[in-house]
Formats: sequence, structure tokens, C-alpha cells
Amino acid sequence: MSFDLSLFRTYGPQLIHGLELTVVIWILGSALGILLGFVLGLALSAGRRALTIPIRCYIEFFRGTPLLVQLFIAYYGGPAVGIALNAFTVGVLGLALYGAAYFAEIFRAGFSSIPPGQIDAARSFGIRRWARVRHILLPQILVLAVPPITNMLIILLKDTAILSIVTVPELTFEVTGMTIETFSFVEPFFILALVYWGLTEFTSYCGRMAELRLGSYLAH
Amino acid sequence: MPGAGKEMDNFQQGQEQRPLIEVAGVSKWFGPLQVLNSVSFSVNRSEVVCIIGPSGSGKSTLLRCINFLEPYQKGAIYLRGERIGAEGRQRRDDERQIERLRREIAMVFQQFNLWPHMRVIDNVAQPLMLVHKKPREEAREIARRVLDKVGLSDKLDQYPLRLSGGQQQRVGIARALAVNPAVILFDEPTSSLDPELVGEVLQVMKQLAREGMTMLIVTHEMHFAAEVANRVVFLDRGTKLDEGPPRDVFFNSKNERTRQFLQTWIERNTLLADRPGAAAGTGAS
Amino acid sequence: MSPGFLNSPIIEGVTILLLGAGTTVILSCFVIVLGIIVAIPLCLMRLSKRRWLRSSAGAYVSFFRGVPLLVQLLVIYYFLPVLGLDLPPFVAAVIGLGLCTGAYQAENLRGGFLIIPLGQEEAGRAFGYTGAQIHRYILIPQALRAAFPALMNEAILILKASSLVSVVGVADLTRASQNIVARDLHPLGWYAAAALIYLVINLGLAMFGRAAERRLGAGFATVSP
Repeated sequence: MSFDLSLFRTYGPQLIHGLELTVVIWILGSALGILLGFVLGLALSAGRRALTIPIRCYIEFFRGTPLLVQLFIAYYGGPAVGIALNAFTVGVLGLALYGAAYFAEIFRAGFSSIPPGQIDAARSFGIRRWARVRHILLPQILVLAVPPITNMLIILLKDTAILSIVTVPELTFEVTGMTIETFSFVEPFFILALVYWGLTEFTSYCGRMAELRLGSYLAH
Repeated sequence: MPGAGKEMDNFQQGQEQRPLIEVAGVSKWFGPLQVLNSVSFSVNRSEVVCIIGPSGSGKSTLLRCINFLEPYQKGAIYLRGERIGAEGRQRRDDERQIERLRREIAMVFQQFNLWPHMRVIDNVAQPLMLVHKKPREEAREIARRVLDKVGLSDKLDQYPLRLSGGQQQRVGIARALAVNPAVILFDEPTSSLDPELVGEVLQVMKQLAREGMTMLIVTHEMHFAAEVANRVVFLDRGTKLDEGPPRDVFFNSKNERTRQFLQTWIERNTLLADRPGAAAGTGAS
Repeated sequence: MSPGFLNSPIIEGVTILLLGAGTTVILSCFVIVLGIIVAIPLCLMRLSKRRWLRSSAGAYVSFFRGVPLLVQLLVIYYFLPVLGLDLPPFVAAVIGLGLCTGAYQAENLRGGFLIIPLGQEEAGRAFGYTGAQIHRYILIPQALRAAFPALMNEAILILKASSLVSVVGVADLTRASQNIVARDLHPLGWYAAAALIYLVINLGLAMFGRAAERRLGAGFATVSP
């Protein structure tokens, strides 16, 4: 067990870059995923079959297959149909499409949980669809959806590690590279684990704070 | 006699104006089940019309057809002579027209349907801002006045879930009043309330009637209908079986089914009805 | 049919995939069992009245839910030899996945326990049941029933997560597809085929889960207040 903390100084810059990339891909992928998931969830809750069926297929595929295999299809299989994306793009899009399938379900459940009577009231006054979404649905959804969204964000953060397998140079990739060169495996990976642990705990904490702030009107 | 005084005033008014709302031969099916069968009646300006009938008779559905919350397959509904929407399914261009007409028709719901994430004053101001395009301060000012009128000026900044049922419904009425509608539709406004809270809501509604608001009310509160309505419409299983001033429908109905439905109520209330000054229309409460 | 058909690369590839799928399923079964074995005591620790038990279990759960599975697998894969345990990758993978899923299962079970009305335990005590008996005959069966849907869900997640064991050298479905592609190319086709197989297995699991739920009357709704 030859582990030297000075290793971290040598590999420092690479590791920092890896961490930066992890966070960047996580944020970009999550944001895109939430946007797409929101639209899909809204469409699902509207209930028109022409929309519901293809969206359901999308969700079943992205939730029923491992993220790793999805990434393989995109990264290695893409060129066969003329889509040759670089690792970073595959990372962001892969995370986004995968996340969207989960976010869609979260948003759908949220939209469905709003008693239809509130929508009736809005319609009866002549409030139009987008105004209804913006003023009635969205504010209430946000509170309901924060816990599952936070959960999903944490899952996506952890899944960025999988991107290392398709050569995305994020944190796990860099640490793996370091272990291969230095033959020291356990400690670096363990510290890597601690770093992720810290990040996810912090995200959890932020989520709880957001829940408290947004939910003030629910206090009876 | 119940409702007599008010009816005389409106008789003269009604003669000179066409009906505010006209329901003509409306029929509706849910799949194979027919829920409305060629229903026709009209509501004149400043009239209070109560729709009564057994549960499941289609009363609420009929009300929701008027502001096109529900589509219907046959017939037509007119607001001031202009037809609301088209037959069958809603279409895009009709949606604009319906929204325009909805500005003049307000609705009060059985479940209140307040928006829980907004304070009381914002609940009332919201339609004014979004639909009637009033600036925020003006909308809130109107909301304040209306909430004062229904007796809730101390609850402006509360969230709806903190209020009692009766208070929430009064907010609902305030919300409807605020947009200055030509007519207010009431969908069983007191059916969800604890008995002790019903009174405060009926009080507000009586006040509105006295002030000449046109109201179309689906209700189980026979007392209220007998007291306040200009006309009562009896609906059973989607068909209009009877219509007329309360004294005719409640006490002199020629329709067997009407009499059967109202029998218990009549028995309990005939004594009351015969007392002088009892359950009179305007002024008494 | 030419005699070469059965030897064609496609049939060969499909066979390899199916073998890999078999490994995946078997691995997942082991993981689920290990998970339950870990989860029950862990859950009881989480519900314990003793603070240090609660906290240590809490830390365990927090760690295994807060660290990417891939990193957990890597740590365990390289750590076991240090402990002197020279285990094949399959076993290391089962241990890694099992410890992780144990944390999630413990939380699911805890949810199941929490929903049991207090009166149940009191009734047991009133009849003179010992603590262990209360757990064995009253609490645990009901907790399992209430948590069943969540546990089924976890099974599906395990199946998908198992794709990562390909990284530590287990010949699962994902690794099988990688091997085929390395030899025969056509990545799109083969990876899509692997995805399809995962999908079919998961859909099957989901249907089984729903049917089982109905027959067992499982889920939170059945534990009435």
C-alpha cells in the first residue's frame, strides 16, 4: 500500500479539471433533462393519446435500460447512422435524455395531483392555458416536486461517474487514470468516494432548504 | 307568499329586455349515457333562478355547460343573444370567443376551488390581472373592496387553507364579484359546508340578490330557493320537469315527480309557509 | 437453410448475449438476497432507540446512497485483496452491489415499518408477546408487505445497475455485448440488442411485480390506519 498524499499535488490540476467537468456536465445535463421532462410531463398529464403513447415509449426505454448501454449506443453506435458526437456532448445529452424520462414522471405526478377544480375555476374566469400553467400549476408543482427532483439530481450526479467509461474526462476518469499510472488503487478511489459523498450530502441539504422555503403556504 | 314581492318588480323589467342567458334544447351524452335531455330555459337580468332536483339529475353538468366547462352535443346556449361556443367538441377559434364571454360569467364552486398557494387577496385579484388586464394595484384595490363586502377584510393576507369552509366560500364569491360579471353561476355553493357555516354564505348570497345581481344557482337549500328565487327549475335525470315561481313549483306543482321530490320538504314547511310574513322575499332574513 | 446458418456470427452473438443475460439475472438474484440480509438488521438499527445504533446505520445508508455505484464497486474490488480475500470478480461484484442495495432496501423497509399503526405493537404486548415475537410475527411481515412495491422497484434498479459489473470484469450482458462488438463491430446493432434484452427483462419484472402486488394485497394501502 504505497500511498502518498503528494500524489494529489502532482495530479492536482487534472483532478480539478475532472471535478469541474463533472459539475458542468451534471448541471447542463440536469437542466436540459428538467426542461425536457417538464414538457413531456405536461403533455402526459394532458392525456391526449397521440402524445401519451410515444412519450410513454420514450420513458419506458430510458428507464428500462441501463445508462451505460444507452451511452454505448450513442457514442459507439452513433457514427453508424452518421451521428458522431464527442464524449462531452454524449455525456450531457445522455444524462439529459435519461434524466428527462424520470423528470417527466415526476412532473406528470405533480400536475395530476392538483385538484381539477382549481383548473375549472381558472377556466371559468377565462384564464388561458399558458397563464393557467404559469400561475396556478407551476407554483404548486414546484413545492411538490422539489423532493423527487432533488433525489433525481443526486442520482444524476452519481451517474456522471459512469460517463468515465465512455471516455468523458470527468472526475472518476481522471482518478482512474491516476490509479493506473501509480498502481495505488484503494486510497484514491476511497477518497473519490468521499468527494462524491460530500457533494451529494450538500445537494440534499440544499434541497431541504428549498423545500422549506417554498412550502410556507402549506403550513396549517 | 315566498318570492312574491321581488317577482313583481322584475316582471316589469324582464318584459323590456331579452333574456340574459338562454338555454335552448341542450342535450348531452357521456358515451351512451344521456345526462341532459333537451333542456331549455332562460334567465333574465337581475333574476335569481334556482335549479333543484335529485342527485345525479345533471344540474351541475348543465351549469358547467353554460360557461362551456363541459361541451354538449345538441342545442345552444346564448349570452345576451350571442351564442357561447359551438356544438360538439371545442375548437380553437371558439376558445377565444368562449374566453371573451367567460369574462362576463363568473362561477362559484362547491369545493370553493381557491388557489391554495396564493393569499386571499391575490386569489380575488388574479382573474382581474390575468384576464381583465388590470394593473396590480387596481386589482388589489377592487379585491379589498369586494372582500370587505363579504365580511372578510381581516383575512386579506391569509392563505386559503387557514380559513373555515364558510370563509373560503365567501372568498370564492368575492372572487366572482370582483370581475363585475353579468351573471354568477353557483354550483351547490353550500353543499360542502358544515351546517353551522352554511348560514354565512347564504347571507352573502341573499345580499347579492337584493342588490339585483343575476344569479343562477344549483342548490339543495330549498328554504333559500323558496325565499330568494324568482323562478325555480326542477331537473330530474337530465330532463326539465317543472319551472316557475317558487310558490308554483313548491306548493302547487302540476308535476307528479316534482311533488314527490319535494314532498318531505313541503310537509316540513307548509306550516312555515302559511305563517304571515314568514319566508318572505326581500327584506326578511 | 445452408449448414452455415447456425454458425453464423449473428446466432453466435445472440447466444453470447443470452448467456450474458443469464449471468446478469443470476447475479441480480444473489444481490437481492444479500441486500435483504443486509437490510433487515440495518433497518432495525435505524429504528433502534439507541442513538449510536441509529447513527451508525444512518451513516452507512448515507454513504452507500451518496457515492456512485461505480466508485463503490471499484473500491470494493480493489479493497478485498487487501483484506486477504482473493475472490473472483463475480463474488466481489455481488458483495459490492449487495452492500449498496442493502442501504436502499433498509430505507424501504423502514418506510414499511413506519406505516404500521402503533396499535399493532401494543396489541402484541398486551397479549404477552416478547419483543422478538412482536417483530417476527407482527411487525416484519407487515413491513415487508407494505414495502413490497418499493422492493420490486429496487429489483428493477439492481438489474440495470448490474451493467456496471462489466467494468470489474464480470461476463454480464453488457460485457458480452462489448466483447461481440470488439470482435465483429456493428456496435449500434449489438448494443441496441443488449438494451432490448434489458428492457424485456425489466418489463417482465414489472409485470410480475404488479401481479404479485395484487395477489399478495401488498403496498401501503393495505395497512389501514
